Amino acid sequence: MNHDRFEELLGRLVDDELTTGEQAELIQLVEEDPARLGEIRNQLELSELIALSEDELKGSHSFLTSLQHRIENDPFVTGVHTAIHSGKPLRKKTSVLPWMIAMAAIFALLVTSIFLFQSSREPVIAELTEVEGSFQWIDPNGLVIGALEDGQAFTSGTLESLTPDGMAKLKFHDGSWIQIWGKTSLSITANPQKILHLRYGNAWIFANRQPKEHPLIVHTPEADLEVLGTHFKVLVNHSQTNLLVRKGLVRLTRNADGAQVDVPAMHRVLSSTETNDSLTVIPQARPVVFWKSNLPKDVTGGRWRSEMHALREEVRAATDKGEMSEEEARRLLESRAKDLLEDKGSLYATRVKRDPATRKGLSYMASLSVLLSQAGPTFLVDGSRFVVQGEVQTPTEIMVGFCALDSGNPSGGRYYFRRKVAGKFELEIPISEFQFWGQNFRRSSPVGKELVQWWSSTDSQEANLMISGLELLAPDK
Amino acid sequence: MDSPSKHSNQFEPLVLEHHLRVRAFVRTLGVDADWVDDIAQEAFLKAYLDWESYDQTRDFGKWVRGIAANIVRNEIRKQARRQRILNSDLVKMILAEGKGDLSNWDHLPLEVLKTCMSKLNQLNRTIVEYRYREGLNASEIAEQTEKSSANIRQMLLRIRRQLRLCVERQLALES
Repeated sequence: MNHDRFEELLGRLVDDELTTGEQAELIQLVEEDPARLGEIRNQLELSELIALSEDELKGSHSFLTSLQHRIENDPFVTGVHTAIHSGKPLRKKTSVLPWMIAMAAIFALLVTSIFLFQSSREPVIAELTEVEGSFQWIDPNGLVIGALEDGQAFTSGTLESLTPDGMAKLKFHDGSWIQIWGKTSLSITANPQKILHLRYGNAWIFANRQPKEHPLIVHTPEADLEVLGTHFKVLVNHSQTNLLVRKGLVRLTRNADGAQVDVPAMHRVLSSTETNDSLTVIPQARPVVFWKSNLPKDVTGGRWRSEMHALREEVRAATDKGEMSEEEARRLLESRAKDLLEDKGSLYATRVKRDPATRKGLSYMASLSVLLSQAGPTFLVDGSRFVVQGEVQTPTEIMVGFCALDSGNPSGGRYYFRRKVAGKFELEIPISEFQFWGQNFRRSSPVGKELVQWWSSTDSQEANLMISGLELLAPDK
Repeated sequence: MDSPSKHSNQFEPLVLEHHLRVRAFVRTLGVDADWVDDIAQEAFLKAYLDWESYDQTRDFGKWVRGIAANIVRNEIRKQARRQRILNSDLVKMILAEGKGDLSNWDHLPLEVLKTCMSKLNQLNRTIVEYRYREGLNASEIAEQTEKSSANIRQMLLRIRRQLRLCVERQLALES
């Protein structure tokens, strides 16, 4: 019995899902039989090795690059380099007296403390003017700062949102702004050229005129963007970089083949790693006040399951259990294939950690980007309403929310609505029923703003929240 | 001995040679999966800074693993806010069991593990991919495979055991 319980707890430990009570229980079981400690280590080791083998992000290159970054930016190493370049001896080759060692230790401690408290000795290049939601800042030394506040100043580093429902705004010293929303990872440096790395997510960039020799560069996994001064949105999702220029001109260079296009105001272009088709710059469509989500195309958080995928899984489970032969499975799939479409299905909420450091605030969330399948901007007007269709397995309270941007300046807001639901549900929610969510962004009505991100979440895992349809309806005539 | 900056060229191949084993070792000490790389990098950074004290006739990997064990030891003293370990009591037990010999942990080579993984049956392979490639937890895999989450955890335990046995057999054959 104890063995079975140990196995159960061990599985949960490796999956990082042990509750405090279960941790105590596991410790007791290990104390009863210390050999279990070896089994724990074996399982942890295998788990890490499999992750290293399967997860491309954990490869040698990324580990080495991060380490080099930490080494290059370590204050002690920087000090050594400075000393070498200035020709000053670091220390004598002769034996060092103990008090000198102590002094060196105190000095190192001081440097480290200053470094830890000030994050870095690099100059401040940007300020976080507004932040709402779960964000973290990773400085060049890999130090993670979790509790971000309005007005926090930053040197170079990476701003990451941990959940799809966040919004933040950074301001550079020259008055340029960047607004990010949804699940986004954005690295910034400015020395003096501003270089941004948008690894994934969404950014709305208001770049003031930059020096000609130092254009603002935005790197994405698929393309490089070069700007002298302009307003544009960049979205990086599904191996694609979507560039929407509002004012000015942005030059996009596709990483895969070096193809270049200049994208003028009110035009857009899509750069993808999955195609080598010529880059086509097209005009952005006129603003609209309605939107019907194309769930598989718009998904930015959660797990999309098409009807066909669901059937394949059912068939696979049946063949694994021996309830169906391979031949029967093949025939069933062939006969149903024509009726089931890959773009029909549901979006399931998946787990998000609001704070990975404290592991608090687990939530289950599905999110959609409005900009991915819409040809132009979608505006919220007086009388707009959302129609949300979905299902939960157990009654629960869900939150429905959205991010909206001001059209003329880099600001916006988050809005939410809560409702208890059970079983299959369809909610029609006028935007007037949404509450403003946050403290740092200026409180304002969503009317007149551009809808960019939508999400729904619940704190209940058992509810297995699923969204099957979402529409923004225009006001009734 | 020379300053560490002069050893960049020497240091990089050592990192490439040893990082996998150091990362796996850090995890065996009971470090949270999300923080393994952070601690492993910290160990290499300390090794870099402390290069002058490194006796180059000694095993570099063992030295860095020893540094990593000390970082984890210090982690126990931290309060929960930034703790990077799964459970303080568990880590204390692991560290106490090693009695300073922790860095001698016998590691499994990744290349052999990959060979063994290619021999997994389709269902096991799918579960491994869901867990480690797509980052799904047991409940999410259960949903995908129509099994219970307890069942999935049990399967993952068995898969990891099966892989260890396979690697050990392979190594025995090679030797």
